[in-house]
Amino acid sequence: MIDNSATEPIFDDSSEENEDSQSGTATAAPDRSGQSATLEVRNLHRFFGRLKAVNKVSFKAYPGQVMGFIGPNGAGKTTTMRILATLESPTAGDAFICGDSVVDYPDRVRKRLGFMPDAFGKYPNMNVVEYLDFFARAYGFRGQRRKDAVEHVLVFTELRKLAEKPINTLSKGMSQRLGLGRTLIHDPEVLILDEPAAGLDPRARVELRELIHLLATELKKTVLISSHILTELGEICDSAVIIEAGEILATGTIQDILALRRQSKGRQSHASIEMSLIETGPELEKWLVQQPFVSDVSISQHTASFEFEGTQQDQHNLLKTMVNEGFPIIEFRGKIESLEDAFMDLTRGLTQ
Amino acid sequence: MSTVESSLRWLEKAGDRLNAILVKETRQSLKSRQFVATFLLLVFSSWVISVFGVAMMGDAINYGASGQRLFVFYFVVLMIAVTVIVPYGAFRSMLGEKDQNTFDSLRITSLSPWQIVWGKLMSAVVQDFIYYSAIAPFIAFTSLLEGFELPSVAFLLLCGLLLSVAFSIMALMVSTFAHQRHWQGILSIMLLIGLLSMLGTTTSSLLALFSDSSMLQDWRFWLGFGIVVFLGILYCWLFLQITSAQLTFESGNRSSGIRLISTLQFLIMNALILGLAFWYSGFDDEIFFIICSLTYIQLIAVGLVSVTEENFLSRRIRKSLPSRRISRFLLAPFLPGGSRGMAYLMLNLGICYGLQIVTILVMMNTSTRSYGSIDEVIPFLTGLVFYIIIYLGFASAFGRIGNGMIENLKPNHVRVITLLVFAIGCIIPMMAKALEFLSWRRYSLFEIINPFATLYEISDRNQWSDPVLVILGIAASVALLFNLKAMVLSLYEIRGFQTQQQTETVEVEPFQIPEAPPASSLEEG
Repeated sequence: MIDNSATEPIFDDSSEENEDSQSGTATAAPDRSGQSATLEVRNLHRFFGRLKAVNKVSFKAYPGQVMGFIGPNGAGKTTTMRILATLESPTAGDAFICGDSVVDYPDRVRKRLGFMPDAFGKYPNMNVVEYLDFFARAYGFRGQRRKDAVEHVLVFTELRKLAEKPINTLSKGMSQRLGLGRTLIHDPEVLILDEPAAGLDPRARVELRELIHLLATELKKTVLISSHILTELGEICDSAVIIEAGEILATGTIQDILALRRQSKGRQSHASIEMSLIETGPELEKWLVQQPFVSDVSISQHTASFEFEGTQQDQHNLLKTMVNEGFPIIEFRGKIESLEDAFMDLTRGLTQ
Repeated sequence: MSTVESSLRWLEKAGDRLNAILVKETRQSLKSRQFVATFLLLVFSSWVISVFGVAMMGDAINYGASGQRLFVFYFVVLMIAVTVIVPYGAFRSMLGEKDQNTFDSLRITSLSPWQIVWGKLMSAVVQDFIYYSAIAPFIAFTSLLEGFELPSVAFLLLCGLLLSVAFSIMALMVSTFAHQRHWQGILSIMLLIGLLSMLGTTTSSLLALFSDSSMLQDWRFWLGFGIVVFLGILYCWLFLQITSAQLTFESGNRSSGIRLISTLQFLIMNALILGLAFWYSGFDDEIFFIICSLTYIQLIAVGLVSVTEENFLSRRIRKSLPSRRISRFLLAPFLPGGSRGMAYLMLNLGICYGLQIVTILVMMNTSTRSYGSIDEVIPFLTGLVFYIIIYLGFASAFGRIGNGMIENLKPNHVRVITLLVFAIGCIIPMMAKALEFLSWRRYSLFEIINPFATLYEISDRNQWSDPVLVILGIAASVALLFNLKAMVLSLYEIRGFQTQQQTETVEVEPFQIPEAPPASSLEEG
């Protein structure tokens, strides 16, 4: 599913050859499973005067893929998303939705793309069903087709019971559902969601996550989603793009990115170990740093962590030795690497 | 299938085809507190007027023009609703799209800017009809009284509706210029003051007409009314085009519609005065001057915006160009870009000046009236045309050259600088006169920088009239020469776009974005 070439340098000749520049469309090279990219950002630039908001950004996404778009504030996420949504034009480069250029054919793109901006506006004096009906009309749906589209969205987002409720009385969670429903009303193939989970309570976040998961797995939508809640993105996304100061730092599957993180730390094969102890002391730290394969030791009141570069047998031997030495160990485990760790390691806190 | 069922089905189908914005706006506005309050106030105040009117008139209600008197009160109340509240509601509705962050969601639907504008306007018209229907029973009541004249009443109600539509169009246009919150506040207040003052002016004018209904019998009144309505429609069309352009994406074509409509307006308006001069011997030269003033004011405004635009044509615009070279060449002056704007300006100056000179000649030959001053108009018009070329020509050259030299020089900066130069040119000679460096009684050549004083001198055919015209002619030629090469190139480059875009995948305009890497390096990676 994931295009590994996305992690490669962007300016591959093959994609240029595939472009039908006369018609302004691009046929992305199919991936290994024979699917074509439904979302392709190619060498995208967006400058505001001297500010390079987006600089040489390229990545691809395929049907059924949920791609996280991660970066600190001001990294260029929203600008890229707005270009994809045809709301802004790139300074250079292009982006393609289902093969149609966002620059050349914005009208075609809008029919195949659903965009949920971070600030989702609500109309006053309007209920849920009227709101959805309006957007169905705005996308040119008529008669039974419009009614079906509204009904389908009401059912999918579980807003049926709230159909007659004024939208400005909806909770934040329900509003986000409605926003997602509005994005889905014309059944787009690609969804771009800018911070959809911002401000949601834990339950609403989980529910939204499930909806997005359904969209990708069952309806085979391509979802590009930005969020600051990285733990959540790690669970929902199968791939990610990490961007900072307008430039891509890493793209690929979550596993690829974690591997990249390890590489960036200069470790090919290692484990991060965490231990819980009844009590710790300076002697533990002193002892650990003297052991083979151990580095980066960190000790707090009841926990200790370190990097270990040996084999699993070496890990077992270390634990055995520690117990024999009389250290009061309660727990000994490999630390789970998260997207958050990768983000913190790969980004440098640059702002523009 | 019964007639009722088929009618319902037909109505449903018709409703399906309605503009989405119209449906949304109507749904929203009918539920809004503003609408409910206005409707109730309208009905309540009309009821109060009826009760007090009848009570005050007593038995006199059966004599005199009591129907006419009561109608005046109802009409004033109705005008407040349709010429102030409805247009202001349209203004707030458009602003609301930005305030409520709904505008982006709207722009990425299949709705075009024109559909958005039309939907908002039609929703205002629907509200007008509702307010009209609210007051209809009271007007029906006045028809039972003495002095009620249906043609006059119908004429007044029609004028009220037309004014409401025109004001709503202007309000929608104004709303698109309010980008920042502080501008929204300022424009809201300015619009409200403008609407209230126009309410006063238009209502009093219409009621003055109403009191003298004999004018409605005069065909010349209807000719004048027809011309005013026609001009109003032309300007409303232009305002709608400007509103639509303001809602169009930055990379879209915001310019061509306005340029085309303006040219069409210049042609129609000047052809109209030429036709009137030719066919109607009683043609008043005041109409000629009014039309001339309107066309040149509009030409200066549209020209200033056009000549100072950036020459860059986005890929979206290039993609939309016609494939035939001749069509592209003919369309070139109407495409965005300052140098093409200069070509556009020259084209329109030619149209206006040419048609107006012909009109003057016709007026001199056909009219039975003596136009003692009409031969002075030709030098005046010539001087005016020279001034337009000088100011806008140098503005265009400054914008083009300055763009490469001054960082972040935007078209709006060039426009403001041009207006400032114009204002300074007018003020300095006046200050010199105030400080007695120059005589108030005589024109000095130094005053050539003041177009008003100079044009006055030219039209008076005084001592400096001819030398000043020669100097202005030379200056206009220089301004034109500064732009000639760029004008020709900008028209010629349109020819090549169709073939150029076939190989183009990445677009960079280094002159616009100083640090943007050139296209070739991006291609090579």
